[in-house]
Amino acid sequence: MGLIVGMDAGVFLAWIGTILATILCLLYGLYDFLKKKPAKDKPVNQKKKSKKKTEEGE
Amino acid sequence: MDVLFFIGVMALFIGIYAFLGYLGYKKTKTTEDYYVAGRKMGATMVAFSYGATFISAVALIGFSGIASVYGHSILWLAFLNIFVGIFIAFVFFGFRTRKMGLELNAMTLPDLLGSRFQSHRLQIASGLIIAIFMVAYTSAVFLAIASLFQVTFGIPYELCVVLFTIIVGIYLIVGGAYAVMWTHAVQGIVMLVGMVILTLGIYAMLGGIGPAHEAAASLSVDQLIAIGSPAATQAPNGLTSMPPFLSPPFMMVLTLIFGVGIGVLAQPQLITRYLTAKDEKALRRAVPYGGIFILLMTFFAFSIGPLCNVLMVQNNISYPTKMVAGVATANPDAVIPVIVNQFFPVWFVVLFLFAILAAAMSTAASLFQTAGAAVARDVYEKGMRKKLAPDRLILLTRVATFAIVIATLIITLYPLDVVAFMTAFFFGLMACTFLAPYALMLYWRKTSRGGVWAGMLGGFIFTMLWYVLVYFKTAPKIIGHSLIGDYTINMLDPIFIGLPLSFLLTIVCSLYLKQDTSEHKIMEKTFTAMKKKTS
Repeated sequence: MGLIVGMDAGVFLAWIGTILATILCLLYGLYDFLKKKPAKDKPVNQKKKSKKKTEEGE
Repeated sequence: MDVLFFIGVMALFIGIYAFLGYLGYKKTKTTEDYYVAGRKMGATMVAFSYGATFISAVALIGFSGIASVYGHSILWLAFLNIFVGIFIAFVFFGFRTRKMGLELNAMTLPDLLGSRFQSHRLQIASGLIIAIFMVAYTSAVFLAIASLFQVTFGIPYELCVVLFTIIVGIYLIVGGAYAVMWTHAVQGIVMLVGMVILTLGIYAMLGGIGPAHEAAASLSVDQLIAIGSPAATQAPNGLTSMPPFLSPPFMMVLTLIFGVGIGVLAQPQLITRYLTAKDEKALRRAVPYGGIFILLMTFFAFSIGPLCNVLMVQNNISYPTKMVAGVATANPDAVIPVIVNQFFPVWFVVLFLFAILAAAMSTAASLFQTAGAAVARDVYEKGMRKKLAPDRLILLTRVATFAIVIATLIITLYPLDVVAFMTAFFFGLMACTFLAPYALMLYWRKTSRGGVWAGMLGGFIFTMLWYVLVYFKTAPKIIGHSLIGDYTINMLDPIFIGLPLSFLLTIVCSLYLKQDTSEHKIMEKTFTAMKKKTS
């Protein structure tokens, strides 16, 4: 049976699986980082919205 | 080896540890500060502390050596270390543990169990199991590192043991959890630098990833026999291939992968790390840092193990041996030290030894800390049934930790066979005893005190019996032979049977021995707290 990066299929699966598991951890952190950003912007948007509303009202 | 250079670096590290111990002492005002660093730690500190506790010298030196025997198939353990040990552990256990710990004001695993199920006895029993087995396990960590220093530097074993135990003992007793967490960060960085240079160096010597793996795959049985490598028989399909299904090497790899890979979820010293996080965000952000840390530790260590055979064959170096009952036996633990000594410059030899020392010290500090807390808070305070003032409890914990450090020192200086067995039992025993009650406590509303007692004791007794009567490594040394001759059974880690059994007992007994009013009230309180999105 052929080798992939010098490893058989079972070992290669573990090798690539370890790297993918690390990428999963990184993506989880990245998702959390991106998910939290809009929440920080929210008050600014609300202020803008309320300003707009008051302008419209005027 | 330049002894003066070594002493200089050692003095630098002792200075750093002493300084961090002093800072921890100044910052410690409450019991929360002493046990869980005031629950104020950020993502990087939590990740480093978790990783440095998780990865001991045994994981780096011992498992690289095991990889040199069984080949790259051991990489499945690296996969589980990251996927289960970091991702599943933090995402599915960490957040809930932290929230429950906050709600119950719990600072240890026995504390969580005792408070959640309103049982002093449960807390005392689990505290005792943890304290007793942790002393043995810590002693094994020091034993391994002292032997390594004796072989490499010729420093007497006894001096190494006394020196290492005193250093860890002092900064832990004085500085508490703050000192432990901060030193973990320093130790984690040293470990990272050491492992990255070692791995890159070995791959560079062998021409890169592909050529290195191909060189390992092409080693013939004759070449491995010529250097005396046990891989000749233990990696029958080659160093970069899985062993034949259900063969003894396959069973060995299987038992190592699952015993350690799943067992990590219920290690009390790791569970304490979740409780140190300042908020949920810190735990979430610790996931990527932890993933990278473990990748650079275990994935690298397990990758280079088999490649050491290639370097030894190419340079006519014999596989290291040790004398066991007058017979020279292959010594996988010495493989990495031999390679480092032979192929790397002196400065790196010192750096790597400090990386291994850091790995041992960081794990030992967490073990001492958890065992000290178990004795003072879980056994003594609960046994007395008296709430101690914070300063009294901190003093008591310091005294208990000191006693544990001294007990460990004595056991390490005069190692008994029983200690070796208890060490072998540790990971499987913690998993089979605590994982089912701990997981169900976090996720299943109906989990009751009776169920937890049944699951905990059932798992504990089964695992002890399995190690004494059946397990191929321990049973022959204790009772002369394994009661089950079939190697596909007696090579199995107890986790394969003990863990499902513990889950079953916890569930069935929880259904029959239902929660009383006080338990139900606490359950409602904790589950409501865990439902809250942020903290």
